[in-house]
Amino acid sequence: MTDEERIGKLLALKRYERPPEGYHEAFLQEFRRRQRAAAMRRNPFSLWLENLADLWPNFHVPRLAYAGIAAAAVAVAAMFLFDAPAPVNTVAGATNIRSVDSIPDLSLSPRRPVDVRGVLPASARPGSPSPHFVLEARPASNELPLSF
Amino acid sequence: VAEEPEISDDELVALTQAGEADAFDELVVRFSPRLYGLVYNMTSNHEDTNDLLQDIFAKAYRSIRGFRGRSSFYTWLHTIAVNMTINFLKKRGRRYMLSLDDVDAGVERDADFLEATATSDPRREANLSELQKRLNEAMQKLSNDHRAVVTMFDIQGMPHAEIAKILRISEGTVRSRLFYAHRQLQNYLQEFIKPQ
Repeated sequence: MTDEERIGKLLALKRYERPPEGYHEAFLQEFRRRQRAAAMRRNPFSLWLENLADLWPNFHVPRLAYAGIAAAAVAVAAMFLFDAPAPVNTVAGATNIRSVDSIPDLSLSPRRPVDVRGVLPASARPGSPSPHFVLEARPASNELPLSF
Repeated sequence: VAEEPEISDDELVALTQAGEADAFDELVVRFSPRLYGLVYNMTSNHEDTNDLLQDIFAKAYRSIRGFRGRSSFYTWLHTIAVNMTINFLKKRGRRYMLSLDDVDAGVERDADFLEATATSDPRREANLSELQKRLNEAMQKLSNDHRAVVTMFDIQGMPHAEIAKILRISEGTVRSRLFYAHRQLQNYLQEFIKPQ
């Protein structure tokens, strides 16, 4: 008999180690009790999550299906991108903005004086109301206020 | 009166999947002694085995709706048991306490026991509890993976192919783990296997 066989026979003696008499009957009772207690503790949402987690590894989705799902996602994304409304051309559509051509040339040049005649403050433009100044309501005074 | 044919594991699984909790109880009755041996011989602790076994059956009950019968229920259940036990042992680390079951009196009539504890050679003198303690200590010195293979092959008598399926490794890996584990155990248990 080889040492390998001897060690095998020695280990096989561990089969004689057994739990106390009646252990397995008590085990089933304990299992039922724990199952009931666990069911009472769990709320429906956690049960649902647990079941989902247990089922997850068993979803054997073919690999091509993943490609299909990815393609569908890309198609939906593309629909949203290309279906977006064109941006409004606010410059062209505006009516109350002066044309760019009408702005006088204000660039400085030593040979040409700057002509600022066309550039007037808003208050000086024809048709605009006269300038309006607001003075401080209280007159300045060196006297101490009489209020106590 | 002809006895009713025993309902098969697959039928009990199908009934459990259909919501019959009593069918799962029958599966617990059928498999708990065998799974107890598997977990006990990997942990060498009765209390840990009891708690783990409860968790294993609870996990199996929760997952049974996902069982599609690609392997036998026996293999599927053993895979859950081994994985959960190895995870437990990883968390437990190197610190452990032996809590051993009683040894059945039948061992004293076993020829292999008599040979291992023969009193003719003083070095091999050992009583029953001493041999049990030494065997369990030697087992705990193995790595978790090696202990799982030794438990299933040498103690539970499973064939290499079944162990390979449960552990999802090749039969060659099962054999090499066994070879390496036996070599280690020979060192730890030398006084019990020395040829006369």
